[in-house]
Amino acid sequence: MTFDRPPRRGAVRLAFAAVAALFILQIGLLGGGAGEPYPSILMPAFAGAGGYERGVVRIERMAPVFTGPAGEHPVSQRALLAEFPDSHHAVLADLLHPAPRELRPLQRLLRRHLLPGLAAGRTDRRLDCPDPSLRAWARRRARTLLPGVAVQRLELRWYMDTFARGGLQPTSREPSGTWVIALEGTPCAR
Amino acid sequence: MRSLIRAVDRWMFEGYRAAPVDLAVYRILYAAYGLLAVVPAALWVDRAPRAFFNPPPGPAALATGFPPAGMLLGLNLLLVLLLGLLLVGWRTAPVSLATGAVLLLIKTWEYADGKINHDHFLVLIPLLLAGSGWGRALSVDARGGGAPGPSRRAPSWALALVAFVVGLSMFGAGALKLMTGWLDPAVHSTYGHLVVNNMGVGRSTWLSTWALAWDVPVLWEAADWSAALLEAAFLVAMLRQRAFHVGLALACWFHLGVWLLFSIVFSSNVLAYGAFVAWGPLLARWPAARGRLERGWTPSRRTTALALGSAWAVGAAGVAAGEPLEYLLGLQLQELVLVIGAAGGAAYLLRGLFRRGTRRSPAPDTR
Repeated sequence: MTFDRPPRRGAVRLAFAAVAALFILQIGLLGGGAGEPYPSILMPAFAGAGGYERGVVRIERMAPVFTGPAGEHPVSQRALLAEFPDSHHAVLADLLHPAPRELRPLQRLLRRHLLPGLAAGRTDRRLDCPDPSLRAWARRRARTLLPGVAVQRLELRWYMDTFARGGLQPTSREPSGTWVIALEGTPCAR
Repeated sequence: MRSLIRAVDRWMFEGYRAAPVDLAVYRILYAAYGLLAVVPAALWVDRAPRAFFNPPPGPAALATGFPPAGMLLGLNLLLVLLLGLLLVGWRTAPVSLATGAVLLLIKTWEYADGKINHDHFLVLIPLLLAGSGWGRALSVDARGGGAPGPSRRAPSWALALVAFVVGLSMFGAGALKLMTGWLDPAVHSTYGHLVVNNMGVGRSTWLSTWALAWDVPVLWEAADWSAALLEAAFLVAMLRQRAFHVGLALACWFHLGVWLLFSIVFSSNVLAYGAFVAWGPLLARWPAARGRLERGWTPSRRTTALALGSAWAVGAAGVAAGEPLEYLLGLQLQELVLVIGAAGGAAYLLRGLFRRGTRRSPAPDTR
């Protein structure tokens, strides 16, 4: 490959066609339920209404709590995930949600035949037996956030909050699930 | 059919024009930005538990876990090396391709938790401009006789390719908004996403806190319509360079608004739009630079060594510290890029309006 001469017109046309094909493939993957791919040339769509319906917005929020002999020690989601870029916090928090996350048919197909790691964080986890590295990470975060405090569990409590338009505080809050990660004891058999 | 093919060919090969010196200045700005604000990337992945490995469809999903820390450290050091070479313009075309490839690998692992930050223009710019001749001025490559008349504008298929990618990218986001109810007067999508971002993700700004207290549906609806239509309009705007420039100028304001409301910094977009700026005429307003640009200045060996050493030192300092130098020094370079983009966009639009209004001066210089 030489860079001294301008490329042939055919090569340039091919480059444009490749970009168009990539765009169509990515829209197809997104529309087919495989999720947004990477590498990608798509900008974030912010599709839909972001939880807005009939004048209110309903969003699920995580309230992490370390518990130990001295009681409960709430920390914010932002503090718990502080060692990661804040743009990743919502996605990481979602991996700590107790509700099962089913793969869509196209995702299952891709995972079975082509991409063994696809959505592994959702698919391979066991709520009753968290990955040892997750327990180790949670213990490390407890040591950092609560130095000198004994902790036994990390409780990831989720709530469905409702916000009315024009208000900054939720008008209602309902529990929507909790994942308890034991930080003591021997690891379970996976 | 033949006339359509001819029209497409005309757009690809003659629709966009660039001067080598404009692209060369942009190359230097891109490399400097990369060294100050991008490297190191993805080193935090080493601290993530395996439970956070949740890759999207793509090469990262071929693996079943994050890569070892040493690999990402090595890739970041390689990126520093390449960005330095890109800055001084040594073997610019292959170095551009290598820069894009290494950055793509790093970003692939950075987004292996499932969160894609949509800074893909950072990766795409060196790949798309590798064949643009952005190393044919102000570079080591230009020492042996660079571009003839470095300030002369000529058709640039590479710039048209960048416009095509930016146009499709923006159109895709706009089309998805249009298909999911952003124009429905009963649904306030901007408001809904702002609540999620502010209350759910915890990214609040002074403007979002103020704006969320409004109960003025017509303003939220105006925000929905303007965002969706601006993005979708890029499909048409990219067909003409001047219309595309107007779209980019408006998009700079859009990104400024997104930063102020959502605290999301799309600086890589504004950086990409910089490829369409006529940097040569801007620099030529500075007397000391004008003569050098006209003579086709190239760096001496001493200047090259100094620039290369400084570039590598800046990048290596970032890698050693574990975060880009702009954070360590509190430069807020990414935010600065947004502000400069908005100011430049406003100046471009006002200049065009003024010239159109007076009808005395020629049309605005679109390149």
